[in-house]
Amino acid sequence: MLSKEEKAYCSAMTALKVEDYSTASVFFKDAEKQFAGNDDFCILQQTTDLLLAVKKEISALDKS
Amino acid sequence: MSRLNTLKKLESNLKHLLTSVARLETDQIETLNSINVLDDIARDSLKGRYVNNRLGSWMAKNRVLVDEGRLKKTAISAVGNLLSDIKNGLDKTDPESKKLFDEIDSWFTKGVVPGRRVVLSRPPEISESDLTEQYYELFKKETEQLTYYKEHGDHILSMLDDILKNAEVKNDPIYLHMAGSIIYYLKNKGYKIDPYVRKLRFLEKGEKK
Repeated sequence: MLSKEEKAYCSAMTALKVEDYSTASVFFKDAEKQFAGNDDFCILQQTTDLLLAVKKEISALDKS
Repeated sequence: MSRLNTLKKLESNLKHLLTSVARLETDQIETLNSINVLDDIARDSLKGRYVNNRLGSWMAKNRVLVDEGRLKKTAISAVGNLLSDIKNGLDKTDPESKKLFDEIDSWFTKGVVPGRRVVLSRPPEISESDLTEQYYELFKKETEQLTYYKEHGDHILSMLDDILKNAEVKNDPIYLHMAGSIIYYLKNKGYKIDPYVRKLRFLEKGEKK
């Protein structure tokens, strides 16, 4: 059986594939416990979170 | 370049990076999803739910993946283990389930996926120093218990009775160890210990079960 974290990682990758970054970020967070020491995982998670932060900033600047 | 433009450039680069990774890993994502779906089926099967349709579809869809060798060794092993779990839950008296049962068997027979690997396990090894530390901790707890009895002025036999009662109702090996230690002490002092030994042996068997 897959662990909860493995299932979350899998869902995160699927979300990335369809460019649903918010969902990917949530699933990455769920998978963190098991994969925090995995370099590939960390790069993908942090890049996704950074992209979301940038998007948020752009949206705020656009509104102002 | 304005702040907004810089951020938009950064956004585009980050998206490009993530899209490229996702594209590069397409096969792996497909495999992961496939195993994830099979995992869901296995979980439902273990809960006694009807999984025949989903399992049939999964096998039809994924046969190609397996046949063409697109699964890595670890994935094949995961699929093998999940199929074993599902197979065990199928009702062979039902023709539809029997068909799926035979299909899983044929996957194993043809070596499409390996059967469940037998894992021989044994308790983790404990180093000598760990063992000494553990014994010290156990002895410390026993001393605390003994202090309690001593402060209440209990006779050693009353104390032994109470410890054996605790061993009976609590699932904690410390009481068995304490009782054994006291019984051995009493034996050396010439006490009649047979009833206590019998009681301890009886409790010890229960502990091992």
